[in-house]
Amino acid sequence: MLTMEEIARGVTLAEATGMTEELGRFIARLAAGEMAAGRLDTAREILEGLAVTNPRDAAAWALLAQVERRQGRVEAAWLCAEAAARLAPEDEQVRLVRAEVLLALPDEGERARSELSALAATPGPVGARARALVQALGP
Amino acid sequence: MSEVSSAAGTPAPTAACIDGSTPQAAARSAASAALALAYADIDRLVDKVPEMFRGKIREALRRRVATAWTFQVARSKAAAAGYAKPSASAARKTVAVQARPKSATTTAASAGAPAATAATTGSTRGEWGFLNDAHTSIEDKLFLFMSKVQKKNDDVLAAKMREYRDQFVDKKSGGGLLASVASAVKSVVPGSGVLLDALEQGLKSLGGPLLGALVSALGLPQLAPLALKLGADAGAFVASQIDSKSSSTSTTSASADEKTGSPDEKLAMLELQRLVEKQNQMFNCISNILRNLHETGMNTIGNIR
Repeated sequence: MLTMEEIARGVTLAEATGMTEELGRFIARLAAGEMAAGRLDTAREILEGLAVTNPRDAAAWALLAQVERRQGRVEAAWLCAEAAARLAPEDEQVRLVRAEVLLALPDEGERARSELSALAATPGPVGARARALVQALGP
Repeated sequence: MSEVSSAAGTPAPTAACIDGSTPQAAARSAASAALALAYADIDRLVDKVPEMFRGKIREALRRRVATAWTFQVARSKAAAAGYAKPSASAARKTVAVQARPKSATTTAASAGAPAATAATTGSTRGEWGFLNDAHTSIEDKLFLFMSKVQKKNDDVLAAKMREYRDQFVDKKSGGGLLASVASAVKSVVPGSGVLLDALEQGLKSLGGPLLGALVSALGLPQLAPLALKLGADAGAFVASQIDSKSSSTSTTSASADEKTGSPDEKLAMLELQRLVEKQNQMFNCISNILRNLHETGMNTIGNIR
């Protein structure tokens, strides 16, 4: 059983139930698959559950931010992206998700642009996406 | 997905021979049997997942298995050959979030209702009947006592906060418990008043559990129980309490009277602080008692050795 005191101490539901990181990663990949297939409601439910189960999982918050943004809930996406950035500030993918969410917010274009410019030098698909977005934003 | 496909990689060979009519029918039988196997494996896997989103995950997994099954059998055999055995997982626990603290003994875990056993010095009925039960250990009594007092305090605290919200809805920033939540979320906002609307909308759209998870992710797990209880109300209240001092936007929906720093408001905040401090004192007291009991026991054991 998970008690309120344990929650207040920071014990997660995943720790209490013995859910391993492997299972968590698997669930996150499953949700990503649902998102890729266009079933955003299903992906969102899965990711909300994963975020509640382990609030310290940055991947869950980042994926949830993407889902929320795609469903038009930009403000909720922003909160989720900020939570992910707090948990994993050095993760390039998380930074990219946050930058994309900032792009959707009014008057946050400059912050998004600076973040994307910083990510443009990153090797791999993250850097490619960041460069593409910077180019699309124009001068 | 490889876990599921590898776990159910081997189709039942005997199933293919059941009707024995045509090769196609046999293949379909084998596929159905293998699919049944895969679903059983899905259920075993999904049982480890918290109940709240078990249904959706099972549905998604079955959809993937059903669509990909006919193409994955041969590949799953090769995957199963070199697949590492999963490590022994922790014992499955029933997950229930309760206000009652975890008991150190099994008797306390089932003592939600007052124990109705024999040989008691007083009545064991009623909410506080466990105090008179001679069969309940002192530690269990302390745990139960703490849980009941905490629940009452939580209810009183939540009621006081709702009163505050109803009376002083002018969105003035103040001290108090929710200011901590506000400051935590405000730290997400880089001080710009422009994002206040976005923050309010974002917080309102989050449900209680997700808001609790959010404050945990932001480094304030001690506020998670409060967020869980107040839910969307907390989101709206916190958003209303956030007041960027450098913001030039004025928040609206105030009554005609100016209630800034009114004695009633200060009194209400002081009452909230008092309730929180009372709760903390109780926790500290119980914690000290339990620690002393434990140390006494350990000393006794050490002396015996």
